[in-house]
Amino acid sequence: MSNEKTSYFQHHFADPEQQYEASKFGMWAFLVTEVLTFAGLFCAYAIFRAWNPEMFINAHKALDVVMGGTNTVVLITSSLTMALAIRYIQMNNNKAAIINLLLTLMFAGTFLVIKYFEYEHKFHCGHLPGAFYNPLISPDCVSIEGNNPHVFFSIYFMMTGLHGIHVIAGMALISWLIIRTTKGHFSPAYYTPVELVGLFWHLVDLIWIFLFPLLYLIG
Amino acid sequence: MTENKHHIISLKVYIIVFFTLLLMTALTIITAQYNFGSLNIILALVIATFKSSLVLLFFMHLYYDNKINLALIIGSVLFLGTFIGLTMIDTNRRTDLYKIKGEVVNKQARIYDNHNTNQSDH
Repeated sequence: MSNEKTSYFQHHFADPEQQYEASKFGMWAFLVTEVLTFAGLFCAYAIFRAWNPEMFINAHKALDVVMGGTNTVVLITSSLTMALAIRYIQMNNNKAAIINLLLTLMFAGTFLVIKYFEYEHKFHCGHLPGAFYNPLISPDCVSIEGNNPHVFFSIYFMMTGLHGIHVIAGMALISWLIIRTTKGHFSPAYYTPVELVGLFWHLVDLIWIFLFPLLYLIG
Repeated sequence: MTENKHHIISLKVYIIVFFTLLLMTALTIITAQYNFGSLNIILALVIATFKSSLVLLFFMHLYYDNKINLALIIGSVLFLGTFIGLTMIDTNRRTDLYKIKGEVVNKQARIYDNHNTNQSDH
């Protein structure tokens, strides 16, 4: 019985606490590499914005602030439900934890649906990256003045696209957590995977916190 | 196994952080409607940094955590700053050497293809 209860504990650690701290440290190291991955894209953004300041201001008008703002609220709310899920597992309330994980998954899905409508409109208007940029002259499409609008959309699609891939990865991980929580794998003594996926999910929120003003609110 | 050493953050703290984040989102959208010149980007980044600090400290538990994790993430921010900062020093001074601001970038530009055609031209 005691063997079963501590089945998560690996022999090469001194105690479960050390195992937990080591896992979390590893996760933070991974998050650092994530920040630096996005740093490359933020750097590209900074360079091209410095070279084409007016075009960036004109091109950002093609983005929908209402949709972007809604997505910001959706992601912040999903971050709250994720944090609450961890809290409920710490308090040994698996049912409330599952509800919060399901809510997080639902908000992540909402984010992607809104993102889909945004992308759909960009495809409709031909506001696409690089060589695919082919603006449609139509009253529902913003016409963009200035040189190199295709560069803006290259950056827009790469940044939000990589972020979107992270959202999909987060959804897969949260689904995995829901299955494991339902099976009763987690307890206040052991909930490391929930904590680590939580950290990942908050990072996804964090990146969006910067993407939103930099892409949608240029002034 | 009655191990429960980890700090459980109270519901109140989470709710306060959540509403502060929403308030800051509203603030960043409202301030974006006004033009403060070059202060626009600084204001947007200050608000975003404040929001992300709240997420890091409370949602990601860094305030209560082993400080080594905080050191890691601050390290990543320093590297990010060095990376973008040094690149911008270069980028902004290049106009001293040749005209690059607002220059048209070829829509079809693909660096490897250009390299090949240059060679076949000779």
